[in-house]
Amino acid sequence: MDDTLIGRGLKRTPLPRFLLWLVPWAALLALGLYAVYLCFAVGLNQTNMDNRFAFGLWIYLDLTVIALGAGAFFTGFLLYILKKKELKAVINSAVVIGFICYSGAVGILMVDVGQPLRAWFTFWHPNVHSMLAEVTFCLTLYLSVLAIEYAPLVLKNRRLKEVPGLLVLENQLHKVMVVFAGIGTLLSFFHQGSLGGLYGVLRGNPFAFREHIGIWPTTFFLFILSAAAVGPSFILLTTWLVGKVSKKRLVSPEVFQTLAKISGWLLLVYVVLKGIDSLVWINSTSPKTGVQVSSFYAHPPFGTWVLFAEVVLLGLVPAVMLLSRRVRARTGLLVLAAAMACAGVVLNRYIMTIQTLALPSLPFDSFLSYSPSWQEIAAFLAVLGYGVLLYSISFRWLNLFPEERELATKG
Amino acid sequence: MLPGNTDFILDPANVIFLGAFALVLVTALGTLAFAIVSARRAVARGQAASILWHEEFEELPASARSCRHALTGELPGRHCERAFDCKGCETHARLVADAKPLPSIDTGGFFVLADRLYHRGHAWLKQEEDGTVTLGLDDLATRLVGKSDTLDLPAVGERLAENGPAFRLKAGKARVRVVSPVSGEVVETGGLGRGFLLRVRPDGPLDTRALLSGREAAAFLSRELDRLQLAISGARGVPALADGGLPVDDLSKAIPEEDRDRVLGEMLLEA
Repeated sequence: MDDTLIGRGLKRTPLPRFLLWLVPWAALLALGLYAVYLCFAVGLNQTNMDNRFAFGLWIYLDLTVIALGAGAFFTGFLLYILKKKELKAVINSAVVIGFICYSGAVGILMVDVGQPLRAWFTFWHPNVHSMLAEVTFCLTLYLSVLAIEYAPLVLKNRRLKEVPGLLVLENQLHKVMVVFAGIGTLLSFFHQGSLGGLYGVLRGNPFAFREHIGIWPTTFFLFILSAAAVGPSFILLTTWLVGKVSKKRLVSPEVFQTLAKISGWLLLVYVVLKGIDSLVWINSTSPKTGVQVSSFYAHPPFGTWVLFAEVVLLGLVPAVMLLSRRVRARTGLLVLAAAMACAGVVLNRYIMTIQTLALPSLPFDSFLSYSPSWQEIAAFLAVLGYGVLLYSISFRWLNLFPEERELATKG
Repeated sequence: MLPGNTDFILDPANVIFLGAFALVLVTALGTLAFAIVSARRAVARGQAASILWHEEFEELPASARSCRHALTGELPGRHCERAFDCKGCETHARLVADAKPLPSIDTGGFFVLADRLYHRGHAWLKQEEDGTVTLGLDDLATRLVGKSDTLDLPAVGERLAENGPAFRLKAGKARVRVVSPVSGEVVETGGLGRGFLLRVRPDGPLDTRALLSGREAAAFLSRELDRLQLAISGARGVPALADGGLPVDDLSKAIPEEDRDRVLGEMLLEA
């Protein structure tokens, strides 16, 4: 049975070994589901969040995976709209990763709101002036689009495609994929931006507040750009990782080169704009509110090193590395650069979520520290377990890398 | 959210925000519905086989998509872009009209029978006197499959579509379909020892312009032998078939069991 589901010419590990590989990830998922049960059954007192520190590990996770999952929309945009045909080699994997990231984020949000049965309230009683309303609408719509984009991959499974109706549906869906790629790009543009705008509009929080362009704070644009920049790097990183774990060549080196160049240029533009934004914030925006920027970095562990690490070490350095032909020629350095770029956006989302809330925003406030409870960590790890499980199953039975068979034949 | 909801206020912000999302939602659902309806309509019109064939064809490596006139040396290196549908091909029509004599072709030790027409999916078609056609596997495919464990033939009365699956066969771990060179109704089933596998009554007048015969077919089989050697050697790193000699009767023994599914898929044009 298992053999007949695996694509023709693809070599996969024996089934018992595959099942053994799934066990630890399934255990992580099970532990996380137990933690989720506790949150639903006992209440959100199972977490270490409170009214003052209302955004914790989960929102940080959401922001991070949504940024990393941007590879799905951006690769789709490059392939279907800008016709970068070489990215066909990774689009299937990008869609699966995007689906995992977004479904994981939505799943965690359902726990975070505490009463998932009332999730529909946000659609029925939206506050259209709230950035979060836009995020909610965009996220749910985009997750639906990702599910539609995932469907053709499933329908093309070796057994399923023997059913004529299913493969014809796959064919028809493929023909209209450009529409979904366009919708995905539009939705991603706005929800990535609104997630950034969420912080930039906080007038009462000088650490997060930024100047506005039109009705949008600069963080709106910086979030879009940073997500678009690291999306290809994350695709590069995961493709390399899957190749290492499965011991297979999945894409030709040219695909890595293309992803690296796109990521490098976008990251460079992002770093320049982020640098300008930071200078304006340091010299104008923050002083105007009566707070000197140095005070934001007076609370260990958030020293000025954080700003340096985010903008220079994990921003400018990987951008230059990704753009260097000599670095791109060496897989080890290329992967390191992609990992650094991803780490940069991970750190950025951490700063925007955690440091923003930890810093005092009123004269009588004090610096707050927050450590997630084991339930929060378990739910966080459950998303990782879920992601690895779904990706592993997809990799085994679906054709995630169209070049794999040809590369295997070449030896 | 909608008019009727007690919270709803008809102001520009509400209209722009909700209108934009409604537009996106309608576009997404409309596109999805369009795809589903188109798929159902295509299946109902009997276009499924053609769609599937075109999809399979696009995934084939260039070596499997050689134009028939490239095989004969008339247009070297030309690849087919029409899923082997020569009927509407202007180049084919022009070359047939010019009627250039074909160069002599070495058959490479395979039998090409004068009364058969060959599909590039390795099925042959023979026109019978009673208006029916018989279908079978060509010489290369027969030797390649060897002793098939299971031959899954359609039942009498079932319909075949041109370039759709004619029948399936299983040999060891390999499972592969063979493409039909003709549309029609199955009127009799045969077997590997009976000289044919299916007898089919074609739909309407028989159009065989897409099929190969004579020296064209011989050139095709000769090229296919090269492709087979590449398919086998690609996985093993060394040529598995000796050059210069005649192919053995049971080529399947030259293919390792673990590679047989892939090699048969490549040769019988199933991605």
